[in-house]
Amino acid sequence: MSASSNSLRTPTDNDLAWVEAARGGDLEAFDQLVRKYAPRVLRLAIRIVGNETDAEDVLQDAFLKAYAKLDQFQGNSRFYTWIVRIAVNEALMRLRRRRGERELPLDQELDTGEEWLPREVVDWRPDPEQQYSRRELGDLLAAAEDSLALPYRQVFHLRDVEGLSTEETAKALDLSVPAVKSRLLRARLQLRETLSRHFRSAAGNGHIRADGTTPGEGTETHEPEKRP
Amino acid sequence: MRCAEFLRELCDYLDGETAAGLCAEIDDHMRRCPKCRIVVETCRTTVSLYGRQLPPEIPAALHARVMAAVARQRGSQSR
Repeated sequence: MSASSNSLRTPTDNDLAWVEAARGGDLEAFDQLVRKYAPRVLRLAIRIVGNETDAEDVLQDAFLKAYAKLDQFQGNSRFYTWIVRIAVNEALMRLRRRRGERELPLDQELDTGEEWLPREVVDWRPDPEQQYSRRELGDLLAAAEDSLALPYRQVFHLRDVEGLSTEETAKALDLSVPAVKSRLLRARLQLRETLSRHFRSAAGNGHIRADGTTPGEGTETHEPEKRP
Repeated sequence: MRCAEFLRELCDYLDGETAAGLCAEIDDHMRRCPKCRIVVETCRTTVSLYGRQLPPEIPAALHARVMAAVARQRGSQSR
């Protein structure tokens, strides 16, 4: 977890002071909140709506709504969690409008099969950060995340990219804690699988069995082990 | 513990939230199963890589646009 993420994990007195001042009409205080959180809100919006133009509109609408509802913000949760919840709702509304549907058929995107079980069981060497430039790596990670179905992508993004706790993620997405955990597991395993195709060891044409041997071609399926 | 059972506990394991009663079984499986060790390590790297990604910078024009909209909203609310 990065230092910047960690700094967002703990409530800051500044946020509460800025919210209080903004409630009193101090636009400069609200400007501070926008400066602090807009980059993360924009990144979240891009991952949900899929393009920067719509994401910028989501960003603006989210902060407009937050400003209008500042009186409803209760200091017992973080401003960050609050604005994330607003932004998720704005992004989903925009997505629904674009798709011309009253509601996103989210559950239809949830697969229930076992295809999420690991297939690519290979080491990642050298370290992916040594294999790719920062920009290449960022593009790879974003593309892999975008390949997740929306229900998994939202949970993964809030939990592992933005650093919200499981409980905060559940609250932001109106999900139960077990649902967050279940979706997070699928998301992490699917991303690991997708990224393995890029990061697998260069040796042995990228396929190294866990026992150290190298198969001729193809990928290795991770079968449940049988006890002797 | 079989691999599929282990994998269901993977998130809690990565997040250091394994239920107390399962710790011994999980540790035992990790010792015996090299495949699951690789899955755990690559999954841990996945989470770590994403957690270290920096958010984009906000262009000055976009920031100005947001704040102008907020100022307009404040103006219309106060009228």
